[in-house]
Parts: sequence; C-alpha cells; structure tokens
Amino acid sequence: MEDKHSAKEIAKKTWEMENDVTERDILKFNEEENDKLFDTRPWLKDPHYFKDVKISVTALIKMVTHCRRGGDIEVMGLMQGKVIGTSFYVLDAFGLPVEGTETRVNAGAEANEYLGDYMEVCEDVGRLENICGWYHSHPGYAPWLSGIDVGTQSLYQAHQEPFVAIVIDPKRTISSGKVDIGCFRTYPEDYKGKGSEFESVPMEKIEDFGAHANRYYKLEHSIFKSELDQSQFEFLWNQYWVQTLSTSSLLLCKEAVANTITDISEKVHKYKNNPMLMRRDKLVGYTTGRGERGGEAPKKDNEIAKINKGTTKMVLDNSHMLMSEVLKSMIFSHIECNDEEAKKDVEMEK
Amino acid sequence: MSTSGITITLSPLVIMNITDHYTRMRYIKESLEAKVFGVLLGKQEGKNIRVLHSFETKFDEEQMAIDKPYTNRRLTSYTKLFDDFEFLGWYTTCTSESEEDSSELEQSVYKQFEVFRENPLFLKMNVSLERRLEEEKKGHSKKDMSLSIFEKNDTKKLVKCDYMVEPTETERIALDDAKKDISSAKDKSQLSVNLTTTLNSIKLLRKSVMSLIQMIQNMPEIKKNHEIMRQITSICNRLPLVSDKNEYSGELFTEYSDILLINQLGVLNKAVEQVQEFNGHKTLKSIEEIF
Repeated sequence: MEDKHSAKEIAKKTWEMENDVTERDILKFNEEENDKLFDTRPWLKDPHYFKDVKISVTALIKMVTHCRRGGDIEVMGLMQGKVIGTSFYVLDAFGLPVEGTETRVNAGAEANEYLGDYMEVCEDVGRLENICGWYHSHPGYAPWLSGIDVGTQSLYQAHQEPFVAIVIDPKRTISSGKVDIGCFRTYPEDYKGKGSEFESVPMEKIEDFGAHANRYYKLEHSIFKSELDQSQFEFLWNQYWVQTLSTSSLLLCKEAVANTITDISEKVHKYKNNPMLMRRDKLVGYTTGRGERGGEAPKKDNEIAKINKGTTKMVLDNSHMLMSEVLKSMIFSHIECNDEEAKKDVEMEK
Repeated sequence: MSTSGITITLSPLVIMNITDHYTRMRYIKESLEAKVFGVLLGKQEGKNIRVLHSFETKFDEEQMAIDKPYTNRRLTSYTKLFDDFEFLGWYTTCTSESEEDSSELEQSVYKQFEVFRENPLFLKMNVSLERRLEEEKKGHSKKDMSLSIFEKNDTKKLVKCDYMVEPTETERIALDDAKKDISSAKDKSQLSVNLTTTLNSIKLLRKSVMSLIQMIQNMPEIKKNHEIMRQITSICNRLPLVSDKNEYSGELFTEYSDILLINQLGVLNKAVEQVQEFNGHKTLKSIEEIF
C-alpha cells in the first residue's frame, strides 16, 4: 500500500516536472494570466506555435459520449479551457443542439443563442474559462479536417484565437478500443507548411481529404486528471472491471469491420484498374531511389502503401479483439481445467 | 437496501463531473471545505434509474436556498441537447467522515428539490483526499467508496440505497485511455496496452474467486450456513456460461478463421507492396547498367 502511494506521488511529480505546471495552475482561472496572453499573442508570429493539447478526463468523456449519441449523424460542440505556453488545456466540453455540420460553415442562430445562455450560466458556478475550441464527430471515417471544416477552423482562428479543432470518430473508437481523436490547427492561407500525415479514409471521402491535407497540421494530444480524479479512477475500476471482461468488441463492431473490408477492396480494385497509378508508383521508385540509394524510398506517395496502412490497422484491431475473446473462452468455458488449477493453488497456499 | 425495489446505476461521467466541480470551487474559494451542489440527470425505465449526466447549480449561502430559476434555466438547456434525460435528483459534497449521513442543511435542501420531482435521489460524495489516502493505507478495499445515494422511504426518512456504477461502452474506452495515459511511455506497443486491460480484469476476477475460497476454508462454520452456501453454489453454477459448448466453439472458430483470413489478406497486401518496391529498384538498376 505504501509503495502504491509513493508510486502515484512519483508519477504526479514527474508529470508536473515534464509539463512545468502544477494542478493549481491549470485548474484555477487566472484573470491576469489571461489578459497577459491576449496582450502578447505569440501565436501570430508562428503558425506552428501550438504543439499539443491536453484534455481533461471529464471533457474527453463528455465529447466522446456526445459524439456516440449522434450515431451516424455528425454532431458538434464547443470546448472551454486555456492556453499555457504552447499547449492547449481543454477543461470542459459541451454539445450544441445542431446537426450535420458538413453542410454549414457556421453554427446557426439557435446554437448561438444556446451558447450565449450557456456561457452566462457557467460564470455563476465557477466555470470561468473562455471557449478555446470546437469539436465534431466523423462517424466511421477517421479524424481529419474536411474542406468545410478547414474553412470553419480558419474563420475561428481569424476571429477567436486561440482556437483548436478536435475531431472524434466514435465508431472507430469502439472498434479499436482506443479513443480515435485528432486535434488540428489550420495554417494561414499563404503558409506552405508540412501538411498532415496520411489517414486511412474511406473511398467517398478520400478526395476531400487529399485536397485539403496541406492546410492544417495535427497536434499531439494527451489526457490529464487532477489528484481527486486519479483516486476516483481506482474506485471506478473496481466497479467496472466486470464490464471490461463481459463486453465483446467482436460482436459490437461487425458492421464496422465489414465496411472497412469493403472499402479496402474497393481501393485495391481501383488501383488495379488504373494503370496510371501503377506507372506513377514506378516513377516514384525512380526519382526517390536515385536520391537515397540503399535507403528506403519515402513511402508517402506510394499508393499501395497508403492502402496498406488501412489494412494493417484493421488487421491489428481485429486480432486484438479476437485475443480477448479467446482468453475469455479459455477461462469461462473450460471449467474442468479451472477447477483443478484452483485446487492446486489452494494446496500450494497451504 | 433500496426500499421500493428500484435499481440505481450511476455513470462514471457523473462522478467525474462532481469531482471536477468540487476541484474548481476549491481553487476559486481557496478552501478545501468548499461545498458544491448540483442536479442529477438521466433516464428512468420502470424500476431502473440510470443517472447519466449532471450539472452544477447555484446555492445561496445566506438564504440556505437553491437558486430555482437558475436551475430551471439550466435544466431546459440540457434537455434541449439530451431530450430523453429528466431530472432525477441532486448531489452535494462533504469532506469529513462524520458528515456522511445527511445533515440538517441537506434535509432542508432536499425539500427544496422536491419541487422538481416527487422523490428525488440524493447523492453525497466525500471528496477529501486525505480520507482516501487513509483508506488506502488501512488496506480497505477501494470498493467502499465515499459516495452514497439516499432516497426517501415510506417513513419520509432518508435512507441509503444500493447502486452500481455502469459505464457505457464509450465511457469505458475513454476511461481506459485516460488511465493508461498517465503512466505509459509513448512507445508502448498497442498489443501490450490492450492486453493489460484484459489482464487486469482477469486478475481482479481471480482475486474475488480466491477470496471466496479462502473464506470457506478459514471458516468451516460457514458450511453450516445454508443460505451462503446456496449463493456460492449458484455463483459456481453460473460459470460454464455457455450451455451448448459445441455450438459456441463452432461460432468461436468461425470468427477465428475470419480473422485469420483478414490477417492473410493483410499480409498479402504487404507482400505486394514489397514486391513492387523491389521491382522499382531493380528496374532502376538495369537502366544504370545500360548507360
């Protein structure tokens, strides 16, 4: 017990050291700090100023739950938080009663009204932070910024800095067992920055993805929690470990898996029937091979490599799901073996 | 024991919300004794109450009253977003063990909330960190959490009820992610991360089973208590969960082969990619040779 306590302490101190902030700095709203930030505006000089996003557990759960509730429809919401150094700290999130953001650049009048009301209400209960970003969901087609999203984010960045865009895919979250989330910031119009890396995106959306991939970059994200949150975790874990064992992700994600496979096969077909693409890949082999003899050709432009990225992810996800199923079947359905082992354990402990 | 056979399930989001609210207030008021109040939202399906969300309310300390118009306002805006949620109850926090039962103040506040719903739930959480650390040191199982839910029973008194914490699938994944984040290095493989969660649950399962076994061993008089023995037997009988083993194995192996097939396709794809790469280089070399 003592060890566990000090391990936590160590973890906390390490985190604080690495991040150069304490819990108090993050959670307490600091008026002067805020004003100082707005006076200097360091982000104007460097389009790549913000490096990462730290999300609080509460905000994360709220966002993911809201996105999931939307099902197949895109939903959106706003986030409150602050900026410390080059990181965004997202402290809270709330949904807006609008749907289908793909067709609109701005949230409509109803949403604005809701927002105004919400902000007023927040002040009274100690939630004093400003809006620092927006989030929306891409159910089933990975976190990235579509053309409209890029437009929206650029608009926000022009008027409401500092602002960050977060995209969550609730369907892939469930199928991979990991929260599928991406945090992005757009570059200003004329900046030629290094665009985002390739994501495996379904066929219908891939054109939209490719066209705008250079307009924004991805920030790293991590999750933080206060001390009290941390201790809650232990308690919560004691309650829901049963659920962890009993849910079967294989069954939950059948539809998603089938969709992914169809999508990949479509891509492969398209590739096969398009001799242009194949020739282009060969050329890529020429030009890059020359420069890096003996080294690896950069795989970024290689069409097949892109398809493979999606395949690998799917293969890994499925294998993991299967592994937990097999483990469970070993435990629960081969009861004879278990009894003997239990007896042996008991004898050993005597 | 809940009085009217109502089962209460609590979502982890509510718990995190409450701790978040308390933490904020504590930094604003610069005092560990800050007391916060709020409303619980969720669904009631027959006898099953699910507390799924919550929000904060204003409490006027001088008048000892909840700001009702404020609460109403927030309630309407939340129900706009979550149209199937309704007012289920309210919550507050306390920081010392002696206060774990409902106090005078809370009884009066309870009456104020009765306006919104006939028999609201009352959730009280002890948010003091020291207490938790103490519990840990004493070796108390963390199951015994500093959170109690009360409701009014027939005699109009507040009594504690049983509750369960049940995360939805997405909440579970988010919690798992958050849990791994603080302690893991960036380059742990996804495999180890995934398996660790399952491993931990299995460990806990084993622990519970072992403790049952030990209990029976150490106290032979338990065998005489038929009630408990019956319960234990029923637990053991539940374990071969699947009655028709053959059918289950059949299904499992179908899934197994499906996934192996997917693996195969993935490997094929990778092979194609590498052949193509090799091809490209080879052609390049032959051109060099020509010139």
